Amino acid sequence: MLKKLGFIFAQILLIFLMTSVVNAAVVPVFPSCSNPQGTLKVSYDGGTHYIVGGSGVVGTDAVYYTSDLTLIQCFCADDGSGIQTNWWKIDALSQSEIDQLVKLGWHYVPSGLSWGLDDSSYMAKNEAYSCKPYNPPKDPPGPKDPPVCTAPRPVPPQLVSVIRNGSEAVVTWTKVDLATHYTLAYGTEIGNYPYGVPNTGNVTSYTVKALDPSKTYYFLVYAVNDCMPSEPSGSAPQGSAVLGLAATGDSALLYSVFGGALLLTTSGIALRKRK
Amino acid sequence: MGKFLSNLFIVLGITLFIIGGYLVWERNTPRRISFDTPPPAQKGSLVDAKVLPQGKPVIIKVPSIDKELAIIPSRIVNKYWESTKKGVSYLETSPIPGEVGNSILWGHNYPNLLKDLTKVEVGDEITIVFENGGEKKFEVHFTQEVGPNQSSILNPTEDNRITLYTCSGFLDSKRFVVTALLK
Repeated sequence: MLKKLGFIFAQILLIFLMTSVVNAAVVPVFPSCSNPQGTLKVSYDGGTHYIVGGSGVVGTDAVYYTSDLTLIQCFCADDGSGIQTNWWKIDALSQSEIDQLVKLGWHYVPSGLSWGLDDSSYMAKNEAYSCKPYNPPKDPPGPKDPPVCTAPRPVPPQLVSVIRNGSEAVVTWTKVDLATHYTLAYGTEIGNYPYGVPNTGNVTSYTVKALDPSKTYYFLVYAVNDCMPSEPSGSAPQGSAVLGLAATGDSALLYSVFGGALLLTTSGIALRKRK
Repeated sequence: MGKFLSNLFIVLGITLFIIGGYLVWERNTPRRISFDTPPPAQKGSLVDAKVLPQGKPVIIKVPSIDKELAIIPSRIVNKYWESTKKGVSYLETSPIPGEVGNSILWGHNYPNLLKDLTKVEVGDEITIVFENGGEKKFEVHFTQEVGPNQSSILNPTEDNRITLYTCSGFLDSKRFVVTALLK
């Protein structure tokens, strides 16, 4: 009996150790947008900004260089929902380490050039926070001529198909005459699309990579005419759903754990005695 | 089959007892309320202040979650973060709330303390009451869940803010932080 118990515990320990080895890439510590550190590189009081793995969003945006290898992007939408993006220059990481990080929710950015960074490879991860939206002065001095997008609004494209193959999905949509490019948004629940591709180019099909093979994804496509986006297309589900894990760490958890422990142990002893 | 089930139940039961024991230990150790690196001492702190016209901060009110709690001055000694079950701890080497800098307050996530802190929203008001009855009001500007290694959230600032936090997440592995600026 004792030998068997020891064997089972050894197996559990082995699994923990293996998990630690797999996650060997040491992720740097990022300061939080609630109290950002480092050097402010750029700051915008408004406008449309792109979030890695997501679509264009409107609000304030600031970027802080926190070390030679790390920077944080603090975006605050007009409704007070914030997204902190942790950027990490990862030239020294192996492909397997990159794959592990992607599984942990990081996005792989092969070149930072399209994000206003240098040509190095980056990993980026979004974290939600809440923030107070920027309120511009009510009566600013001088003439008020806010930038206005006057381009005609294109009609929304129609989602034709989403062909899912493991961690990839080929999304196809209809061509829109006025569109100069398209924006893809996607997420794991209807109505919440935190990931996306800000600019697919003027194409009607795009392959989205690094998806979780076990999750259902819903996709939206926007046609964009210069600066004017269309209404979104309809969404289409692909793949299968999985449940998340939640925990609170409060008293109810404690009672449940000890209750379960007592029940299982006494059941086990009772079974043994009955034999 | 019966023997297998019996062994399985006993092993699972013992495993749960171990997890439960860990949870109890976590619940009663100050480590769960701490950050990895203590913040530096700041000017305008309780230890620093020569004169305290308004007296010490004694009560914190968070009306949006219906909480009014005592403030207990606390210290960090050798990475040991003093904590209390009677209210909210105030790091006495951080500025007195309302002074320039980052005033740091923390409390356990017990139901009678800061369990509902995660329900606080941007725009909510937090009031600090002082010994002489005076009050200072703050408005929540940020809420964010961070890891205990993100100690820089406690760093000094140039504004007048309070940083109030409690434990959150699985096995209290995270810190839910509310940042409020003086109105």
